[in-house]
Amino acid sequence: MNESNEFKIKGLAEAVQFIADIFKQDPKAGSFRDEEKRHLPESIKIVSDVCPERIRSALGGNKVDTIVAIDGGSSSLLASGNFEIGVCRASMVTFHNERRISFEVTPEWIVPAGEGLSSPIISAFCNTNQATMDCVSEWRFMTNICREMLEYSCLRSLAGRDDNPAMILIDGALGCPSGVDPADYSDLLLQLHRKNKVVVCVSKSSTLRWADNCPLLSRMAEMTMERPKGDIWFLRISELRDGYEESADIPNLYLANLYAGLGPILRLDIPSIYGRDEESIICALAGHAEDPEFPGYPYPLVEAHRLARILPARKKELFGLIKMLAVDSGVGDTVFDAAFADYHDRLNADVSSEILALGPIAL
Amino acid sequence: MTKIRKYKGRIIGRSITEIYVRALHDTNLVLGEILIAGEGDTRFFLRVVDVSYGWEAGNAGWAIGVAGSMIEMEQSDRGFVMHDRARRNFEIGKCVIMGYTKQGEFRRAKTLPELFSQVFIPDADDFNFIKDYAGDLRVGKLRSGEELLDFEVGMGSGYIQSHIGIFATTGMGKSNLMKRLAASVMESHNVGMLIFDPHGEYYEGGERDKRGLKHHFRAKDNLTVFSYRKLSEKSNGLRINHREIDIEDLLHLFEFSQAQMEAAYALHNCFGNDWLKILSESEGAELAKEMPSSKFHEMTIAVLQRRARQILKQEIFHKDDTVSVTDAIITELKKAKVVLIDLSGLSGWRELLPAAVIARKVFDVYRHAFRKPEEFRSLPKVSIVLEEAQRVLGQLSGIKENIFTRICREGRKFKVGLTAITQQPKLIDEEIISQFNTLFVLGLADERDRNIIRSSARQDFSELSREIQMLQPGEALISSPQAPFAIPAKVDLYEDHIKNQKESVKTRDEIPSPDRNFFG
Repeated sequence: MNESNEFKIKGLAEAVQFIADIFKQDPKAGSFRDEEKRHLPESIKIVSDVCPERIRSALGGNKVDTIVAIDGGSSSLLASGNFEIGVCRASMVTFHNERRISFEVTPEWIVPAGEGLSSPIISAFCNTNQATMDCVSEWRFMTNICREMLEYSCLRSLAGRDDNPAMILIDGALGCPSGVDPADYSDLLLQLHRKNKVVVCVSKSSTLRWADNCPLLSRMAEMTMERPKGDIWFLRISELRDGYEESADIPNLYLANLYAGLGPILRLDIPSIYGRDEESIICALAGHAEDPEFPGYPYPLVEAHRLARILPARKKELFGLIKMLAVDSGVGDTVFDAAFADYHDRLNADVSSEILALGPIAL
Repeated sequence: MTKIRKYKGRIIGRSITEIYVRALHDTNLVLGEILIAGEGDTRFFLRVVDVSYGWEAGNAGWAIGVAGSMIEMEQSDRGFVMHDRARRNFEIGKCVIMGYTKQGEFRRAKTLPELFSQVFIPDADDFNFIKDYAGDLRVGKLRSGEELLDFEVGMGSGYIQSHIGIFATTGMGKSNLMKRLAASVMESHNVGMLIFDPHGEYYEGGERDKRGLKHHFRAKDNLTVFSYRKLSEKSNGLRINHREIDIEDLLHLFEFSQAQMEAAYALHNCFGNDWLKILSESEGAELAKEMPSSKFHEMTIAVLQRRARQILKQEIFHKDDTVSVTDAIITELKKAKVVLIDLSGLSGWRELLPAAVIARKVFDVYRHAFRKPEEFRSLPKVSIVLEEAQRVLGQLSGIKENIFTRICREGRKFKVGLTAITQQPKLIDEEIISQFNTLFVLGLADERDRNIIRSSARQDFSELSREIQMLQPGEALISSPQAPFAIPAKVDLYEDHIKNQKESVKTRDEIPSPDRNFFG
């Protein structure tokens, strides 16, 4: 793109200036924004002094041979105004000595959601999974809620196993799914703890903001730039509020880099019941984040993600299946298409190079 | 009992002309390897013609990114640990369908094996269908990639007159293959083979620890050696008299101007078969008197004379009309023997001229016999073996028609075939090379050599170029008219063969084999 074209794009200069302003702040100063603190559970108190001196290297810890990774995948199949049908599933992958020994993928769950439709679906799930349902979020999040519940069912299945000590990785933040009783969730974490199974939740991104709207993870990247390549560093960014120390499901939050210089900065949620042995846990986790496919990210989660992901081709298949069954049940073909047909395939067809050569067309 | 097969992978695509196989974890695919797919009585035979890397991650740039990370990670103290490497990184084999068997009958493939079919390593039993094609002149074992199967392969003696090409770069095993083939001829004793040996390697083995044809257990009965020099074992002298040398034998060996050629023919017209002797012994002026009607320049005659004297000065060529062994050579060939002409120490025209004279005599005898069906039927087929065959079968315009090109074009009809050995098939005339019905292709490094085979061979070599390039010494592809595809083989080491061969080979006293069906 030449210089003259750059300035023809509306808002480009402003956007660049906006980013520059955010990152202009001094990395050694600042604190969490108040509104960020409000987004966290009441039980958690965010530490205010995020400074380079508090960042620690993880130097020792026992190797964990068995590691289980859980992830979920979800996607919207069709949507029309106040009505949506989504699909979700979860996967669970077990590695032992860096070798995948088993994997499971839950059946796909088609989730119709709309005003007045969500509750029966969740209730049905709760009935079959011994979970209770005391709240239903906004219907637009129903597919995600169902995905979390499938992940939860995977986690719960591990509590029944009396196999080797293991580390259990869950993609995302630690938190009780909407359809599950928090007491049950807390109890599940305790059961796992008693069976020497350590749960660690791993997030690749974080909404935490610092100072004047600066993403915390990018600020941390700047602060840790000088650390030696391969270093495992972590920073605890939360404390438990008084009175919450005994709750299994309340996490301590960490920012960590499991392979400095190459890996991403991750947010790790480690249940507080494991005490302050965070260094050995993070070290053990880092031992599974040395795969060159994604340095610094626990490799079992990569595989769990791949297995759970709903691929576009599968989405198309499911869309076709729903349409076929709907038509069989009496919904008119034309009516269905009018409501749900996706014409993006046609719209996304490659524009010919001759047309592109004409350049932007002024309106 | 159900056969337990060794599982090798699954078919993942793609068309009837190219099948792709994902290999099992920790399993290597080998160029030229044969795999089988299909269940029940239908079995597809696949040949691996290319092997590439595969990985589970979908994006094309995955390997570049991972390798970059590895390089980066090696620079830290921690390095990297690749999880489940064998499963994530695997091999993909590109295969061609050789054909399929249904109820034991081999057919060309017009259909595909099912997508995701399991593929297996075949065993010797799977190749029972090629027993009929393996031929009676065995040279080695069936090969799948680098693995040998307990299944002997070779060529049919019935095709020996349809010409054989043995093509290989130096060191790939041409001489060993030739000795092994000659051994089979001695053992089967139903065809004749005339071998011109310019290096003495076929007779004694050449290098130390090597064995020659004289060491074969049937050599005493079925090998006859002619040599111009004294050999360690009993052999026959090699003598050819001057009357046996034809002008045709000389034309492709020497450069002749038009005038010289005309003078040579004039001399032959004038003196008959004594022309060469008279030319070498007479003075120029005397010759001019003898040929009053022909007016040749003195220098023209002088050049011819110089050549005639050079030729007749050779120990092999004799001025005595009664001295000759060519009849004896033909007699031995008619007994379906291997006749070895030891020309070691000779090179250039000194080697090629005796070969041309003898080959022409054999060809002429068989050609004349063709007119007498009873006699012809009783003659065994014969193959004439020539090393560095590109010297006389070359495509360069300078190479003139000669007895060897004539045998290639006409010999099949008269039961006389040529076995041409060369390391540069690209130098052989394409039309001549297309006459070779049986090819033994060993390792060929030069792409032009492989291309000429591809364009001339009776079987489809189009996807086998890479395999030919990668063949190890002794590994060969055998293309013959009777086989449904180019058969991969590992040629027996001749020394091992004669060591292991027992005297259990069927003795055949009745010779030569009547060829009652030759006239159809």
